[in-house]
Amino acid sequence: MASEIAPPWSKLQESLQKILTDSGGVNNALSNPSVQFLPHFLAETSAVSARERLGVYCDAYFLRILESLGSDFPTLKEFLGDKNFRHLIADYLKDHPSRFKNISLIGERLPKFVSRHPLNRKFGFLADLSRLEWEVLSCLYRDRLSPLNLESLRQIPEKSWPKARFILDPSVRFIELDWDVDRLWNERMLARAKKRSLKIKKSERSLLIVRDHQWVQVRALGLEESTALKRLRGGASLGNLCDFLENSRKFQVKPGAIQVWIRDWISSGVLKRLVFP
Amino acid sequence: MNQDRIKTKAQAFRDKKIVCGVGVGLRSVHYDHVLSRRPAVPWFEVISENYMGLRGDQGGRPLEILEEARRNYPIVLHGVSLNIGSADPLDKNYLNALKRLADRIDSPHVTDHLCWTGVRGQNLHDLLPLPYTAEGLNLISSRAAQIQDILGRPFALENPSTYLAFRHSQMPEWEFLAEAARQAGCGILLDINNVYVSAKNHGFDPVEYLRNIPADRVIQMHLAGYSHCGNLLIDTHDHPVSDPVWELYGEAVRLFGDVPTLIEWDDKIPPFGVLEKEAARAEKIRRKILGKRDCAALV
Repeated sequence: MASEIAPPWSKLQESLQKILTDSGGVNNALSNPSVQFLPHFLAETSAVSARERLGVYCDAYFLRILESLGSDFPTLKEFLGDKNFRHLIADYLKDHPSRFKNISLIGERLPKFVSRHPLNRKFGFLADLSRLEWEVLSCLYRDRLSPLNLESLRQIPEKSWPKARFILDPSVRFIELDWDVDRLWNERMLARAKKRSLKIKKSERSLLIVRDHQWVQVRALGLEESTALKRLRGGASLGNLCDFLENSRKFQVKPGAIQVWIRDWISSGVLKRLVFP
Repeated sequence: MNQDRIKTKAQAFRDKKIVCGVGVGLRSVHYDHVLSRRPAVPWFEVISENYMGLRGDQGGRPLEILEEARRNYPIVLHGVSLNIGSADPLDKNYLNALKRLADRIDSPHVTDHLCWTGVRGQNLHDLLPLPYTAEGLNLISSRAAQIQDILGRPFALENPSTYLAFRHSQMPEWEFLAEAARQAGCGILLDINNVYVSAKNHGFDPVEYLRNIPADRVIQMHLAGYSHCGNLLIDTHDHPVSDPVWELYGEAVRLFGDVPTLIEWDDKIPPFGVLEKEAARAEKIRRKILGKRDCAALV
């Protein structure tokens, strides 16, 4: 075939891309007049037609991304089942084809997309669940500081503690949800039947997400603890925090609770550094 | 491309044997095993994009794992999103991030595929085929030279497995790849499984392919498994290396000599011991043809 009748490089690729990303498949894509020229430029053998060859790439495009998103949102996929998850991802890809170099970033807009999808209207909590799973994945890609040296803490004079400012681990994230989907996530290793029997309820909650040495922890926080951590992250000293909680009518913090929190936050890797003015 | 520059670069590949022997792809399911057991593998290869900190410069757990592995093993970067053959311009941000990672782990060379992955800013996350034309050759060779300069280390193009070909191609793939590497002064990552798969899918002789690749350009080889899909073979990387590919690998070792080889297994990944067995089989073939070699994997 003479090269002078070959399509321009960009036109060839744009047309091929259009065909391969058509969710209706190759035959549907080739019903579009703008790409009908392309099969004429494809070599075929008696055993395999040009359309079949295009079909290999077309199938691979969707299946590869489906598999990747299934790995990134395993609890969502498990809850929906293969058929519904496929349907969701096919719709998602139509609206949000990947523009990322790293395939693990494709799911960035999935939580927002899920919030508007009919499946979320049916089940109610899917947007929250997908948001949680995205935050977990994002947490893994954040750096983590080395653990706080407990021995060094013991040497700090008691009078210095009110001025102490805490540095939270860079991987710490807080999210506010309307449904108790963290129960589903924390029980994700259960058999599917048992997960299906978990009744997810509407329950406003604040979740703490933080990397540990193996993976990620997800924990629901009470209002007082959530407020305390966020104030510390905002730069409040320990003394400021104690004063705030003591004087606030909204919170009822039991005596000794802050010490218990600090101990938990250190052991769980939430608190990583102390600084003094 | 200046001929002296081409010769200098070709010589540089031969002299810089920082990885040798048969390595294995490092995948997340094996992280714990590799870090705690320290298997006797001479080197690893990783997928660049997984560690490039493309999420706002933080690498997180994947990069920590990589750096820990790097303390004990040489690691080579192998990418899938370079998009060298795209009508879109080269992504300089991506290249800079790739260079930062390559410098950070001292990757002896960097590889990616002779393909395109998307246009108009999209990424299909697949290795899409190119027509092998004079126009394409100019594009690929000039870009490969540019990439190598940016990375500051040898760069190699991998032959893809393909399922369609273009009627207006002006030369076979082996000629295109060889000439692109020559003009760019870059290397070739010769994937033996891809040669076999493409040969079956398009009806050419895989041995002829190998015989037309310049030996001084081949800086690494890949071995992997394929699947059958109707009348086509698909490069699924989810099976052991097949017997015909082992046979072709033997031919490649005869032709290209002591070139580092990697066992690639990306899906339905088996226990690490299975990869080690594949590596051992490859090493046996190498020793039979090349004689016993000390594998001094220089860090």
